[in-house]
Amino acid sequence: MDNTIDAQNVLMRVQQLTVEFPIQSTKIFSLGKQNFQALSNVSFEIRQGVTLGIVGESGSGKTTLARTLAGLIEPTVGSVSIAKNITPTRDIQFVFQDSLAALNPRMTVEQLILEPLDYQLPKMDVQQRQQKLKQSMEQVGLDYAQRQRYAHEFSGGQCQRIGIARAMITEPEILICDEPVSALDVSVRAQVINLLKDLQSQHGLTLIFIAHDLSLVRFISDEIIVLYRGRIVEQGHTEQVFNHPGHPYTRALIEVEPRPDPEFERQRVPVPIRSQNELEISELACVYVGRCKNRQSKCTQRQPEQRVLSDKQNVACFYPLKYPK
Amino acid sequence: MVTYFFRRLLGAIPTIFLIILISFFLIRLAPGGPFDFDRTLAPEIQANLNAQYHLDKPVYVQFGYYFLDIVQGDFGPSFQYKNYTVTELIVQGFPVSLQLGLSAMLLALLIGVAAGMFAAYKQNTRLDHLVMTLSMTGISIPNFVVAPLLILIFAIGVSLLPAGGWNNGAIQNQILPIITLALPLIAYIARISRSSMIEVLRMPYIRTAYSKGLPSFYIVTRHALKPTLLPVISYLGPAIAGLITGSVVVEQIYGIPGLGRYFIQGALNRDYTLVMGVVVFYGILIIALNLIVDLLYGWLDPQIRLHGRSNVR
Repeated sequence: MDNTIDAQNVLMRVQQLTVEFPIQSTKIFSLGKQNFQALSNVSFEIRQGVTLGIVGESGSGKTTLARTLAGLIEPTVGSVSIAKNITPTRDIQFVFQDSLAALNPRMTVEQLILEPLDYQLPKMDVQQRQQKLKQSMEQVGLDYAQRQRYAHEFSGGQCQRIGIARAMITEPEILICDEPVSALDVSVRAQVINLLKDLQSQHGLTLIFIAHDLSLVRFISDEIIVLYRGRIVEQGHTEQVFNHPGHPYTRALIEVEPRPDPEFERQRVPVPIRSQNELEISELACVYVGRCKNRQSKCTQRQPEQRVLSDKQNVACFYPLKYPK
Repeated sequence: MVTYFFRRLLGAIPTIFLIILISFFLIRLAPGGPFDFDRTLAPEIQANLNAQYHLDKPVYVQFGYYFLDIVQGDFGPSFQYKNYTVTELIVQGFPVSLQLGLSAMLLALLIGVAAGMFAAYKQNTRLDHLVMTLSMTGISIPNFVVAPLLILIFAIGVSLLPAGGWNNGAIQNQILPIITLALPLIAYIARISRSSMIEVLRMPYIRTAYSKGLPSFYIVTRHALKPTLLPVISYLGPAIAGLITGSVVVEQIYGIPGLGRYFIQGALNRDYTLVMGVVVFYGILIIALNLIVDLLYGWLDPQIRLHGRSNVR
C-alpha cells in the first residue's frame, strides 16, 4: 500500500489488482506450484464520503477484495494506493461478518474497544480513555455499564455493535464492512444498517460494503461493483446499474432476488447456474461465457475489457444489454 | 470458586485411600521382607523384629495399623535407616527433588513454549521442520540414555561440569540433572504449543487484531499467547508425574540425595514404610498440583470459569 494519491476526493485507488493463492497439490510428485486466482485485474477508485457496494455470488472474490483493501492480504500483482493524508492502520478499519468469532473471548468489551488506542495513543490518560469508551459505546447503542462483560455474554447484534465501536474508536476515514449483517436476523439487520448510515453522516465516513443481499446493497450504496469469478464485470452508480444492468450476469443476479409477489415467483424462469462445459472453455474466454445466454463466437476467444456504457456505468461485455430509451 | 476448591479436596480423599490400599498390598506381594539379610538372624531376633513392626500379624491387620498411623499424619519409622522416621527422610530428600523438578519445569516451559510458538509462526518453513525434528528426537531418547551421554560429553569429554554428586546444591552440579529432566518435557511442550498456536492463529479474532493495525509481535504475545497456553497447562498435570518418575532415575544416575533415590533404595530393601510414605506423599502432591492446574484454567479462559454446575449447554 502506498500513499501517493494527491487527487481531490479520491481516497483509494486500486490498479490492476491480482491476488493469487497457492493450491496445495494432492499429488506427491507435482510439477511446479499451482495458483488460484481469486482476483484478476481489478481496478477502481473510491471517492470520499461515498458508499461503495461490492456484490457477487459466493466465491466471486468479495472477501478477498475487502481484505486486500484493508492490507490483510498482499496483492500478487497491481497496487492499492491511498490518499496522502491516510494512515492505513488507523484510517482503514474493518467490520467482520462473524461478529462473535471476531472478538477475542478472553477480553472484556472495554479491552476490545480500547485496544487500538493502547497501541496508537499510549499516552492517553485513564479519564480520557473512559470518556472515549463511554462515547463510543453509547454511539453504537451499547450500555456503558456493561463494559466489563465478555463478548460471549452479548447477543449477535450487540457483538456486531461492539465490532463497529471497536472499528470506529480510531476515527477512521474508511470503514470496510464484510457482510456485516448476514449473520443477523432481519430486525437487528435494519438497526445495524441504520447505525452504519448514521455513523457515515456524522463522521463523513467512506463505506465499503460487501453483501450478497442485493436489496440491502441497493439501499445503502451510492456506487456498486459486480464481481464474477474474481473479475469486475460491471461497475457504476447503483440506481443506474440496478435499473439498466449492462452485463447479463448483473441482470441474472438482480432477477434471482426473491420478490414478495407470489404471482411473480410462480412464473419465475430459473436462471442457469454454472454449466458443466464451463471447464472446457479456454482460459482466454470471457469468464461468464459458460453461463451466458447471449454468447457469440468472439466471447470464447478473449476476455472483454471494461468499457464505458455511460458516464455512470462501465461494463466488461462485448454485447451489453440494451434498453429502449 | 471456594466451594469448587473444597469439593475437589473432598474428591481427593477416596483417590488417596486407593493409592494407599493398592500400593500397600503391592509392595507386600514382592518376595522377601525388610529383615532378610545375607547372614541369617537367630530365629528369636527375627521373631522379635517382626513382632515389633507387627509383621507377624495377617496383612489386613498390618494394613489396619498402618492406616491408623497415616490418618494421624504419621508415616512410621523407616525399617532400614535406623533412628529415622519416614517423615524425616522425606523432609530431607524432598527439597532437593523439588528444586530439581521446579527448575526443570520452568526451563521446559520457557524453552518449549518459545520454540513451539516460533515454529508455529514460521509454519511449514525449514526452521519449523528443524524445531519439530529436534523435539521428536527429544521425545524418543529416554533419560537413562541422555544422562550418561551428557556425562560423557560435558564431564569426561570437555570436563566442564561434575559427573555427579550434589555438593550441597552447587549450581554446576545441578545443570546436567536439570537438562536431563527438562529435555523430554521441552520436546513435548514445544509440540503441544506449536499445534495449539497454529490453531489459535487461524481464529477470526486474530484477523481482527491484525485489522486493528497491531504489529505481529504484539498480537502473538497479547492475543495468541494465553489461548496457546491452555493445552500446555492441561499437559502440566501429567508432566509433573513424568518429572517425578524421571527424577527417580536421574537422581540415581547422578547420585543426588533426593527423594527419588530414597524411593529406589527403599524398594530394593523392602523398606515398606519408606516406599509407602514416598508413594502417598507423591500421590498427594500430584493431586494438589492438578488442582492448581485446573484453577489456572479459569484464569486463562473466562469461558470456563468454574461457577459450579452450569445450566448452559
